[in-house]
Amino acid sequence: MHCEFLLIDGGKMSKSLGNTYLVQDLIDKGYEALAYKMMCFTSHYRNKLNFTWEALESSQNALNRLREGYKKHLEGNAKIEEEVIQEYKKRFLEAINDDLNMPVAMSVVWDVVKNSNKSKQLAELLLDFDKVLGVDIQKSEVKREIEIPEEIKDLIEKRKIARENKNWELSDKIRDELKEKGYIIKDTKEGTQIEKI
Amino acid sequence: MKIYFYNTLTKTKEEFVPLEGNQVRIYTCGPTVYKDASIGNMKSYIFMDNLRRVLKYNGYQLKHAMNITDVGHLVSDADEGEDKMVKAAKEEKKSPLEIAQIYTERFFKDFDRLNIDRPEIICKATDHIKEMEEFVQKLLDNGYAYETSTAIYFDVSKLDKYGILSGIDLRNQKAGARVEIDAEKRNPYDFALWIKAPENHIMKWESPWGLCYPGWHIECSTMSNKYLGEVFDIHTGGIDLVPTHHENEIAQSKGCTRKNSSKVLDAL
Repeated sequence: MHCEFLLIDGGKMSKSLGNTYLVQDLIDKGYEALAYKMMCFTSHYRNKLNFTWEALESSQNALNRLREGYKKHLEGNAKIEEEVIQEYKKRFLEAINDDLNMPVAMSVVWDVVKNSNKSKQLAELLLDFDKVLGVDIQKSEVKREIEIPEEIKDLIEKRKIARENKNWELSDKIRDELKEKGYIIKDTKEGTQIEKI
Repeated sequence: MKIYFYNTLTKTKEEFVPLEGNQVRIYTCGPTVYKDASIGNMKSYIFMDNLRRVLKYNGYQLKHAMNITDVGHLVSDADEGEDKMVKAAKEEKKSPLEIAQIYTERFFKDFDRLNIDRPEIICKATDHIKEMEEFVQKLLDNGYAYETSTAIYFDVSKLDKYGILSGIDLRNQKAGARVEIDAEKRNPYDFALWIKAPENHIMKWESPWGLCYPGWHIECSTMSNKYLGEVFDIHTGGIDLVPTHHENEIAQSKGCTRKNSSKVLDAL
C-alpha cells in the first residue's frame, strides 16, 4: 500500500520554490495541525492532494464545524431510532473498509452532523467515528490569535484612556473608527476584546 | 464486514484477511532523520495512522514496526552521493548522532500534533548493524550477493522477477543506459548492501569485510524480518519509495528467506 504525493498550489514542493512547508509553518499561520489532517481526508490516499492556503482555511473551518456539530448533538435530547444509527455506522464502515475511502466516510460524518434532530446518541456516534479520524472532536473551538497592526493597537490604547477619563463621546468615536477599519471591540468583564470582521 | 485494500503489486483491490488470527503485522518505512519532515512527508504518515485506526476499529490487534533511518541513505536514493546524515552533520556542525536525535524528536512532535497513532515498534538502523551484517552474510551464502573492491552488491539477475513492483524490465536495460555503471558491478541494477567506508568517512563499523556502513535498503529487510517474521501482512510507504527502495527490499527478503515478505505489497 503506497500513499501518493502532495502538490503545492498545483505544482511540486521544492526547496528552490520556498514551498517546503512544515507542520510548524501551518501552526505559525494560526492553523491547527489537525486542519491539515482534515484536508488529507478530502482526497483518497492513492490520489495526489493539492495543498493551497485557501484549502487549509476551509479544512480548519470544517474542523470547527465538526466540533460545533458534535457539541450541538451533545446538548440535544431528541430520540433517534436505533436503525438510523446502525445505517450510519454501516455506511461509515463500508467506506473505510473500501481501501480507506475517507472522502466517502467524511460524507457520512457530515450527514450525522447535519441531522436536524439533535441527540446525544448522534454525539456518541461521532465520538465513535473519531476513533478513526483522530481529530479531537471533543475539543472546543479554538479562538485564533489575530495579528493586530500597530495603528489599531494605538487606537485601542487611546480608547482605553478615554474610557478611564469617562470621555464616552471620544470612546464611541474611536469604536466607530475601529469598525470602519475592520475591527470590532467588545467590553467584557474580562477586559476589552477585539475581533477582526 | 470485509475489508479491501489496494495491493501495489497486483494493482488491484483485494480482500484483506490477516495471516494469523486476529493480529495484523505491518511494516512502514519511516523517516531519514537528517532534516525536518514536510507536510508532504506527513501525508504518508496520516495515511499510516488511518490504516492503523481502521484496522483497530475492525477489532484487530496490531504489531506494527517503523524504522528510523539514521545511516546509509545516500543523497541520490541509489548508490551515489554522500550519506544524508553525514552531509547534514557537516552542514550543521554536529555529530550524525546529534542530528538524528534532533530530527527524530521533531518528527514525533509532529506525530503528536497530528494525533498520529504510533507503531508498536520503532526501530533505529544504527541499533541493528550486527543483524544487518548477518543478513548480508546470508545473502552471500545463498548466492544472491557478491563482493567488489568497494561494496557488497545484490545480484538482481538471480531473481526472475526483479523490477516487478515498479515495472522495470531488465531485459530492456542496457548497461549504463540509465544507471551509473561501476565497472565491478555485474548488472546495472545491482545495488549496494554493504559499503566499504573510505578512510575519512565518519559513520562506519567493523565487519568481516573491513570498516563498512550499510546500504539504505538492507535495514528494512533486516528489521521487518526481526520484528515481524519472514512473512507479514502489510507493507506501507510513500509512492516515491516504490521504484528503488521497496523493489530492493523485496529482492533482499526473497534472497534471504526465499519467501515473499509481505502479502499486501509483493510476491517475487
